[in-house]
Amino acid sequence: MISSLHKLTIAITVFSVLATADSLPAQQFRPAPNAHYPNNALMPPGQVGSQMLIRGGPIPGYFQPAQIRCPQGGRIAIAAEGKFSAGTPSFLNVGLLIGSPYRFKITEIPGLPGTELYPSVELLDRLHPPTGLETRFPVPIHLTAQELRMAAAGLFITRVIYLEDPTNPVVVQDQANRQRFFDVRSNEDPLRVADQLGRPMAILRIGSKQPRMDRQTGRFMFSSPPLREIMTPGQSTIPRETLQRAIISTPSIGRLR
Amino acid sequence: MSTRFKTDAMSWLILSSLFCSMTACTAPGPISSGTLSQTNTSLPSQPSMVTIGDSGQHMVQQAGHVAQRQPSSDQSLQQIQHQQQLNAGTLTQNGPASLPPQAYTGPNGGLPYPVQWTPPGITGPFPEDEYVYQGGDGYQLTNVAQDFSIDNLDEEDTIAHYHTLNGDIEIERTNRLPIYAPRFASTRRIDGLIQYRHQDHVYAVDSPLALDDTVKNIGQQQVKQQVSSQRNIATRASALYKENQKLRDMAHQLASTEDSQMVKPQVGNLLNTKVNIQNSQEAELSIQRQTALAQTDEETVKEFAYDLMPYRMLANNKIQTNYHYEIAEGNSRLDIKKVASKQDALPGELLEFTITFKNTGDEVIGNVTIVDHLSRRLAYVEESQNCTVESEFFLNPTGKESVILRWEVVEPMQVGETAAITFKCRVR
Repeated sequence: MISSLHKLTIAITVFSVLATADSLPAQQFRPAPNAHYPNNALMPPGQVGSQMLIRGGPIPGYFQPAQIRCPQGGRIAIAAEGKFSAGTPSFLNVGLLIGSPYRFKITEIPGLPGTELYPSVELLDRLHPPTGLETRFPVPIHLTAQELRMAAAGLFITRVIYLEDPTNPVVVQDQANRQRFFDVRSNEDPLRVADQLGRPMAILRIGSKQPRMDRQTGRFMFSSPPLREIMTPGQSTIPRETLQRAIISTPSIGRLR
Repeated sequence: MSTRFKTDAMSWLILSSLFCSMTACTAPGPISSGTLSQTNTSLPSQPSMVTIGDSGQHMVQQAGHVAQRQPSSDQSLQQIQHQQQLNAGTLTQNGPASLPPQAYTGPNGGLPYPVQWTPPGITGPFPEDEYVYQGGDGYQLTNVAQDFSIDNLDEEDTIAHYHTLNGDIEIERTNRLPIYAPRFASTRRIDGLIQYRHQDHVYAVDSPLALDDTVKNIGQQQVKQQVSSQRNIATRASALYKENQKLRDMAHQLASTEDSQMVKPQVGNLLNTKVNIQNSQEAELSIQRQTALAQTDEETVKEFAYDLMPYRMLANNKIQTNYHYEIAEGNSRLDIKKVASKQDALPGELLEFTITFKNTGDEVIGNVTIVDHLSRRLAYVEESQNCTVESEFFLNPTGKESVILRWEVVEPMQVGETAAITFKCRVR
């Protein structure tokens, strides 16, 4: 004979045990709920990265390779020495310092003729690849056509690129020319969400702000921090004119007759 | 006079040459661009854009300026092509970029960290979140029951289990294989203009005037409270101190009395004389008593057996007889190793794994089963597995979107027999 009170007690106990067991695996990779996040992605460019420099480690002075990619047909240029370079089509491989914000220029956007957008990129952390693989594994920063259209329409997009936790990955097949993203709510911090899913690596900010070519130009370009351009295999830095002169000066080989 | 003039001239020449060498060394340095800006105005500025190829060079180079070589007009085509080959795979310009004076480059100017830097005390690949691991038996140790059911087979584990002639089930683990394969994703937030302006307005409200008033009020209240705290430093401490003194004296006397009664029958040199035990002799008597007790501890003959190896020990702790027994028993052992075709992979690339196993024991083993729990970052390529011995292959999906590959070798493995399994995976 089990009284109704005992039955109720047993039922509550079983329910609580099942509920606890169900929530345990999800809490393994989750930071503490009361963790303090002093930084957020809406801080001014460079502020979060400068906090990472203070932490120490082999971060200052290291040029982390990054690959900025825009839709096919677009052109990307980066601010260097107070002006924008000629740019490269579709993607740009470049070594960036951690903690320094960089200004980019996107032109020839498909579907938006004559529109120029100026996103900024701030690296927060670096990779530690084996020797010789630094440029094979850059930090990918992809701009989609939808984001460029929204930015041209006046919206402000903040994207935090993070290194995924390999012990808790999303089971989907990644593609080389497309970066996965999750939209967070308007009251959520994308930096905090990225920290819960992995290790934040970079912050991309893009809006419709246009530069003023006056004394504020240097401020708009964040004083053009130093960078290192990464060449793709087969690309030559020798000027075309010099190469043509060298070809002409080469003695010709007599043809067989 | 002439000798003195020669000496002054020589010293002047030495000093001038030293000064010239010092200026030649310090002028082109990138660090001195801020302090020696006027001196460097005539020098050609160092470009801040440096190109890097896909070679094995590390990104951070040591300080050293190498000017970019521009080929002359009469340079041959072979030299141009050679330069192209160099540019295609190496740094086209070494040395650091010219940093602006306000640039922060770390305590050591950003240089030089070793290439493979790891935090002190950490061995192995660093950091772990950039690697995908396969093999081994991590987290929990895997157990195999008599009905071949496997418990605690975690993700990334690769094991083999087999039956010995005695009917036992043995488990062997492979090596742990790190593969450098970082994967990225992103979080995105879209803000409209109205919401953005609202946030700017909130930042402007933050005024320092309110903080000044608050600081003044708190300071006055704290000054008043200090008067009451001085009364607490009154005679209470001295009263407690007196009580402690009395208690310590009483305990002291009791202890000396007990010691005098207990020590007398055990310490021989004190039995025939009358000893007035004073406070200064208590420590010495206590030491003697402890010594006597330790000497009466008997160390008689002791025997113990450990793992069929009996020892006989006497009081003087010398081993006089040593018996060692070995029982003839079969030694079943399976060596298993796992290797990958590449040590690094981008998402979408193929990896080929090879598991080799060999019977290195001295008896036949049966029911050899290889179990591989693939990481969720790896997708098994269908129909890509191959085993050199006759076996049955099973592909078991798990509830966590990962798969378990299992090979059951049909025939028993003879002594010295070797087999290999290969299969392919695509990196997610």
